[in-house]
Amino acid sequence: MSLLQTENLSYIYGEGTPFRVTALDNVNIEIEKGELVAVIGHTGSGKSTLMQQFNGLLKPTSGKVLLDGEDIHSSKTKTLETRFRVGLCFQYPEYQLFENTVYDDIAFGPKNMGLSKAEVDKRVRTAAKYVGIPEHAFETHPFDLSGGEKRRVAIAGVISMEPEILILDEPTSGLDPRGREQILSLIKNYREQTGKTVIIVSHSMDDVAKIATKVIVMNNAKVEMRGTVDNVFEKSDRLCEIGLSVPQITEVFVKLHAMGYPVSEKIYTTEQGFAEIKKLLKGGEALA
Amino acid sequence: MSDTILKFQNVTFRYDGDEGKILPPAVEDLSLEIKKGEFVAFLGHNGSGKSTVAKLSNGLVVPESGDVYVLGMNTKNEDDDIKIKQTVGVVFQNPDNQIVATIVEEDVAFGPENLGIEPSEIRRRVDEALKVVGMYKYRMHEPHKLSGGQKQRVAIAGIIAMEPQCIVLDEPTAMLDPEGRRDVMKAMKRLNCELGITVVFITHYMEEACQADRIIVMDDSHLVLDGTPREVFSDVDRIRGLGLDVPQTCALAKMLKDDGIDIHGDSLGVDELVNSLAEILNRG
Repeated sequence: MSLLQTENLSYIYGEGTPFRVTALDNVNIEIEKGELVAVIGHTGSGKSTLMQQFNGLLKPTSGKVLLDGEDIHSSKTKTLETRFRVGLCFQYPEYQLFENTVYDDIAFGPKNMGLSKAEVDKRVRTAAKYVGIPEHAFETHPFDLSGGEKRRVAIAGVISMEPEILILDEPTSGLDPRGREQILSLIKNYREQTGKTVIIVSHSMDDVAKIATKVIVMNNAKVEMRGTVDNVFEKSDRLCEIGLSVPQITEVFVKLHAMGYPVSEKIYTTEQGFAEIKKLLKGGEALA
Repeated sequence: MSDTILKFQNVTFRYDGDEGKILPPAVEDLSLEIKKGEFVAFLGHNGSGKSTVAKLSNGLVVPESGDVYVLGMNTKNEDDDIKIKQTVGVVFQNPDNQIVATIVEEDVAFGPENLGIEPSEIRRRVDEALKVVGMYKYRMHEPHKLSGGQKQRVAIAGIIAMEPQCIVLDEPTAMLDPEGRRDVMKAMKRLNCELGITVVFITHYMEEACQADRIIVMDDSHLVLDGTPREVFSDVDRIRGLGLDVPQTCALAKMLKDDGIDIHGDSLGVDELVNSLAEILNRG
C-alpha cells in the first residue's frame, strides 16, 4: 500500500458555468514513504491543483485521494487529520508571514495543533535548525529578513508541524542562485535526516535533476510521464514539446551522442558530464 | 554623447529606513553608459542593487548624489519627466501587478491613451505591439485568464505601444515556466533586432544573460564586472564568489581545464561546447 495515492482523480473548476476547466483528468499516482518526488509541468498543467488535492484543500470532482489506503474525505475527522499529516507550503510563502517575530511565525502551526508550550518550543528550535535560521534571529521581525531568509522561515513554519509529507510549491522560484542552493540543500538534508516524504513542484529542471528520486510530469491535466530522473529526461524532445526543458548540460550530451560519440545521454549535472568525458578520454588512452 | 541613451554618473541612492534610520546605499558611486541599440543583461545576487538601477533609469527614483541622464536629460529635472518616461519604459517582475484593464488590447492601449495620442494611431500601435510579442490573436481575451508568460508579454506590449527607445525589464522571466521564459526572451530579442530598441534586462538565469551583447554584474551596491558574456563568464571562480552561477557549459569546460585537459574554443552555449568537446574526443 502506498503512503499517498490517487485513484481516477479528476477535478473541474467552475462546473456548470461557462468557465468550466478540467484541471485534473483521471490522475492515478502513487507516492511511497521516504521518496522525494518532483512534479513538473508547464503553467496551468494542473500541478498546483494536484497539491491542493493531496492535503484535502480541494475535494475531487470524481475519484479519490488515499492516505495510507484511506479516503481522505471519508469523514470530517479524516480530512482534518490529513491537513496535519500533509503539510503544504505554497508558492512565495514569504507573503504569508504575519507574526511579529520569527519565533512566533514558526510557532503558529504547532500552537494551533494544541501542543504543550514545551513541545511547541522544541519544534520551533528543531525546524529552525533544519532551515538554517539561527536562534539569535528568533526575535527579529520577519520583514527585516532577506527574501531567501523569509522563505526559509515560512518553510520552517510548515516543518514545525512535523507533517509526514511535506509539499513545497515552487520552493526556489524568484531566488538568486545562492538562495536557490540553500533551499535545495535544506530540502535534501531534511529528507535524509527525517526519512520523511517530500513533494516539490518545480519549473527548474536543474533543481529536479539534483534532488528528485522520482519525477511526475503533468501536461494538460493528465500525467504525461513518471519515473526516475533518467526515465523522464531521456525524453528531452517530448519535454520541450510540452513546454518544459532539460538541463543545458543534458542537451550537450544528447547532441554529442547524436553525432556518434559514445557518450551517455543521461547526463544532468556538470559533475556527471565531467566524469563521462574523463571516462572516454581514459578509454582512448588505453587504446592508444 | 549622441549615441548614449542612458548614462549614470557617480550615482548613489539609498532607501528611507523606518523612523529615520539611515540605511546603507542600495547603489553607490555607480557610473555606466548604455549605448543606443545595445542588448544588456544585469546580474547580481538579491540585494545587490540591480532593481534600484531599473528604477533609477527612468526617474521612478532619483539619485541622492550623482546624476542619471536619459538622452542627455537629467532625471532630476521634473520638466523632462514625461519625455524621460516616454524614452525609457520599465517592465517589472510580476505581470499580475502591471495589468490594469479587463481586455488585453485595452490594457496595451492604456499607456498611449495617457500620452494623449490620436485614437487611430493608438489602434495602429496596439496592433503592432501585440504582433511583436506574439499576442495579437489574444487581443480580445481577458488578461487574468492568460498564462504567466502571456501576461508578461502583454505587459511588454503595453510598454512597446508607448514607443520608447529603451526598455528596462526587471526579472521579466522570474515567475515563468521554461516555455514562458523562451517566449519572453524571443520577444525581447525581436524588439532589439527588428525595432532597434535598446533592451536592458535583469535576470538570475545565466543562459539568458549569455544571449546578451553585454553583461554588467552588480555586487553590494557596486558595479564589479562589465563585458561580453564571454569575458564575464571566463572567470568562473570570480562569478561564483559573487554568489552567482555560471552556465553549466562554462562550468564543465572549467572543470576539464582545471583537470589539465586542453580544451580550446568557446563553451558559452550548447553548440559551442559540443564542438569543443567533439574536438577533444577526436584527439582522444
